[in-house]
Amino acid sequence: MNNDSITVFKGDTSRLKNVIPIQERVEPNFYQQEVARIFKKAWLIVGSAEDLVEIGAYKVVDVPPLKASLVVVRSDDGKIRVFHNVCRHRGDKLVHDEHGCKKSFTCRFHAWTYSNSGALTGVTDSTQFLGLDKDKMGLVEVNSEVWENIVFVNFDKKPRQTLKEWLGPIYDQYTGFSANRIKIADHRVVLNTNWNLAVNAFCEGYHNLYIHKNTVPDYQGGKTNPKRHRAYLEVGDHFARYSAHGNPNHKATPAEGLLYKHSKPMFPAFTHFNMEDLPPGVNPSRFAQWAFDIMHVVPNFVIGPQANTHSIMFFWPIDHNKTDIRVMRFGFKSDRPSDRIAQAHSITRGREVLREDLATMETNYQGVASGGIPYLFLSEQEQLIQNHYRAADDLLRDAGSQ
Amino acid sequence: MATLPSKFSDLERFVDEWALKSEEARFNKLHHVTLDHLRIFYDALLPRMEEVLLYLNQYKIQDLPPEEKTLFYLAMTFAETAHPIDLKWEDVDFPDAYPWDKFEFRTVSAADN
Repeated sequence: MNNDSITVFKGDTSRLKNVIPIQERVEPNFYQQEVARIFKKAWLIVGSAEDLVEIGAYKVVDVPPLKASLVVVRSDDGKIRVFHNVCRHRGDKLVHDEHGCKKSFTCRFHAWTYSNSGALTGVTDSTQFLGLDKDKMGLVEVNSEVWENIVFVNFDKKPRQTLKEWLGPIYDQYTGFSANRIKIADHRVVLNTNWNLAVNAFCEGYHNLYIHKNTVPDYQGGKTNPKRHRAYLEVGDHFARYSAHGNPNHKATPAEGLLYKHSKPMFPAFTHFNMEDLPPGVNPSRFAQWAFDIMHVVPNFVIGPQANTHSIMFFWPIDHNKTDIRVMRFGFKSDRPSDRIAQAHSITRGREVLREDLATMETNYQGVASGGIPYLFLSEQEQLIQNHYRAADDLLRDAGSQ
Repeated sequence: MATLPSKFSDLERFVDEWALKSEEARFNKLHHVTLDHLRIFYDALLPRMEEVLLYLNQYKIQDLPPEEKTLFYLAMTFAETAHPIDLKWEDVDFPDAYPWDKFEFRTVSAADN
C-alpha cells in the first residue's frame, strides 16, 4: 500500500531547477556580487518592532554584508526610523550601547547631539563652523518600513519596489499574526558557513525525520504521512512557504504534557488549534493536522508561524564563509506564571532542535567549498531551496542589467 | 531561612543551586552537571510541578512575592532542564549537537526570562 501523503503545490514552478551548481556560489568573488546586487538592493529584516514599543526605544543593529551599523528607533512622533549610526561631523560611531531609550543621542567625540527623529539639535562651539546649516545635517536615514511588527530596511537610495510590492501577495495575508505576542527568546550564533546554505537548512522539512530524532522524534507526520511530506508548498517571486503536518499521535514527554496542560499547546505538540483566528497566510490551505509554517522571504529571512508562538530567523553573511544567525522566538502575552513556564519549555525544545540544524551547516559548507560535488540535487520537497536560487539569480541578473 | 512558600519546604534544598534567573544561567547549569545529578532535581520536581503551577497561578507574574518568585525560578529551571531525562538521553547533551557554549543570549522583552 502506498500511503505517501500528497503535497499540495502552488505557484509558478516553471523556472525552478532541481540541479544547482554550487561550488562557485560559495566563493569570495560570488559573495561580492551578492553584496552588490542582492544585499544593497533587497528589502532586509533588521529586527522586531516589539523591541521598540516605548517612545525613544532604540536598538543598534549591525548589517555585516554592508559593514553598516544602524540605529533603529521609535521617534517622538511614534514612527520607527532607521539611521546610519554615524555622526555627521566626522563619522565616528554615534551610539555605542546595544539598546536603550532616549530623547536624543550625543556623539562622544565632539558632543554633537541628535533628536530621536534624527535631527541635528546641538553643535558644540557652533560659531566656528562656517556655513553650518543644521537642517541639512541630520542623521542619514535608511529607507525603512514596518510589516507585522517586523522592521525592514532597503539600502538602495531609491528602492525599485516598495516593501508592499516586494512582498507581493503575502503582504496582506498576515495581518495581526504577531499581535499580542512578546519576544521570549533571542539567540545568536556565528558559524563558519555560507549564508545560502544556512538559509537552505531551514527551508525544507525533508531532514527532520533524520536529524531531529534526538529532540523531537515524533512531532511531524504520523501514520498517514510516514515520510513527512509537506502538506502545502507554495513558491512566489520573493517568498516561498510550506505547511508542516503535525503528528496527531505525538506522545508528550512527562514535563511537556504537564506544562502544556496548564497553558496552551506549543512546539513540539500541535493539537486543538483554533484556525478561525489565523490570518489567511498562516496555514494557507487550512490543513487540519497543521503543525507550523515556514516562510522564506528573499534573501535571508525565515518566519515560522505557529498557532500560539512564532519565530523569526535571519542570516547575515559576514563573509563568503561566515554567517551570523539570529533566532527570535515569540509567545502569546500572558501574566499567568504557568504560561511563562510552559513557554520556557517550548523555547528549550526549539533551541535543542536548532542545535541539530546548526550541526550540519559547517560540514555542509566544507563539502561544497571543496568541490567534492558538482551540484546540489534537490527534491520536490525542497522547492523552497530551488526558489531561493531562482530568486537570487533573478536579482543578480536584474541588478546587473541596470 | 526559608526562601520558598512553606507548602513547598521539601524543595528548599534545591533553591541555591537551581532557582536560576535567566535562560542563559539555566542553560549553563544544565551543561555543568551530570545526568545523575540532574535526575535528583527532576525526580523531586516532576511530582510537585502541577501543585507548583496551580499555586503560582494565584498571582500575576509581575506581582509574585519574593518566596513565590523563587519558586517560579525553580519551576523555570525544571521546564528548561527536563528534556534530557524526558527524552531518555544518555547524557545532559546529545551526540552531534552544535556546541552549547557557542550560543549567545540576547535581551528579551518578557518580564521574567
